[in-house]
Amino acid sequence: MTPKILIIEDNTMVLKSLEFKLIREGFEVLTASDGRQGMSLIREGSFELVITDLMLPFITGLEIIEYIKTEHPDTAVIVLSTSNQEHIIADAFNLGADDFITKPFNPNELTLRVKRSLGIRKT
Amino acid sequence: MIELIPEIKNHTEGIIHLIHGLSVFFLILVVSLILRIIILRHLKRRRAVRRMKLQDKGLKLIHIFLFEETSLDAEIVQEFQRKHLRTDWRKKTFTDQVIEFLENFRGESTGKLKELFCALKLDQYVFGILKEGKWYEQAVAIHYCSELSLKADDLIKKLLNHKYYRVREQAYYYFVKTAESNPLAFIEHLDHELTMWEMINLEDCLRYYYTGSEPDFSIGLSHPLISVRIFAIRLIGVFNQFEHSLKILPFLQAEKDRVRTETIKALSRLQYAELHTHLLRNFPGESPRVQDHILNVILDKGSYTEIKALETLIPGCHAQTQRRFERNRRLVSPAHKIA
Repeated sequence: MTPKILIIEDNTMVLKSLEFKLIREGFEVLTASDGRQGMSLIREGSFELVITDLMLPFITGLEIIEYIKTEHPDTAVIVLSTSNQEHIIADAFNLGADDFITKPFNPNELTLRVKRSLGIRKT
Repeated sequence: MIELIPEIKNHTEGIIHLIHGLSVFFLILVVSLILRIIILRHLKRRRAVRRMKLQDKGLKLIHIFLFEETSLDAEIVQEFQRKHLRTDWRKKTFTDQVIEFLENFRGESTGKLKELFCALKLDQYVFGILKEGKWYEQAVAIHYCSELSLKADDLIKKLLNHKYYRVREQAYYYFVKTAESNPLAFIEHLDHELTMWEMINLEDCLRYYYTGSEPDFSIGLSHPLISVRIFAIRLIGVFNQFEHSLKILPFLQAEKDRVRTETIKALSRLQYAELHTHLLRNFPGESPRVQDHILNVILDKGSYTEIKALETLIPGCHAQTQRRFERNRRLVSPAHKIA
């Protein structure tokens, strides 16, 4: 079965690029441009992986991670953020994020990390 | 009294005519203003729609080129150039889109985006602005060159002393961001003093953009501009170039407060051994501003003996400096300093 990925990102360019790249890699991709929309998609369906920004309108990335790890503990989470502050990264990992990628990022590296996160979940 | 009535009537009619005239005038004014706002909004919306359409086309081209692992197809590029990059506005919109990609992506994507940008001959568009554009367009064009590492040293060198500071500062950042070595070589051409924000941003460019070997910042110490000398002193301290400690030591006797203050900060960062002796010797003749900095350095890094020596000099100081000393002395434990 094709793994289902949700991308939550408020930068349209990054959102569309990631969607394009991951669809090409053979994943089923859904997108949300703010936290509220992302949260409603998470409530409606199940995802193998969620890629989320931290600074999002309405609901922050940290709140989304917390919700996922409480309600869907099997869903992997990759954080994609401009922040490289240690305490923010630590907060994300403490809430259960599986990986953290800092912007600007390498799209090929992100794809590899997506595959690794999904691989970890499968074993 | 009765004879006056027709005259009053005539006047009233005149006033009524005037009021009618004014009402019509203001009505036309209001209607034309509303129409103008509606037309402007409509034009703005149309432009936004056009921008979105162009961005969608641009996004598709960039995605194909970046993610489909194909080499650049000359036919596709030429078609895009012919159909979608006809006007300067379109070229600018697409260039902004490329810059946004560069700000978010790194790795091989960066090189590919530059390749695409040049294949679309947008580098020539940017160079054209640098040659003949308006000053605010030139400032943006220099930023494009910095972000895309487009080499236009000769064109941008001419803008280093532009009358608008927005252009000048972008030119400074360009030279630091795109340099392979000696990023501060451009300072010898400067005629305008650097502002505080320019210094902060230049330092940021040196830390996060410049990738070559660390330059010798002491070259700026002999510059005729005072701000460049201050900047050089600051960089020597920040980048820990302790080998230049003796070169900046004479600046403790400089005429300007700002230079002496920056020298004290730099030498303190470099932990220059003789600094405290120099500072205590100079303290009585210093301005209150410099005295404050000396106070900070001695209280922070001085020995118990040095703090006691400073204490004897405090009564001759400005009242504010005395208060600062008393307030901070309580925070410094003599036992700790002796240890």
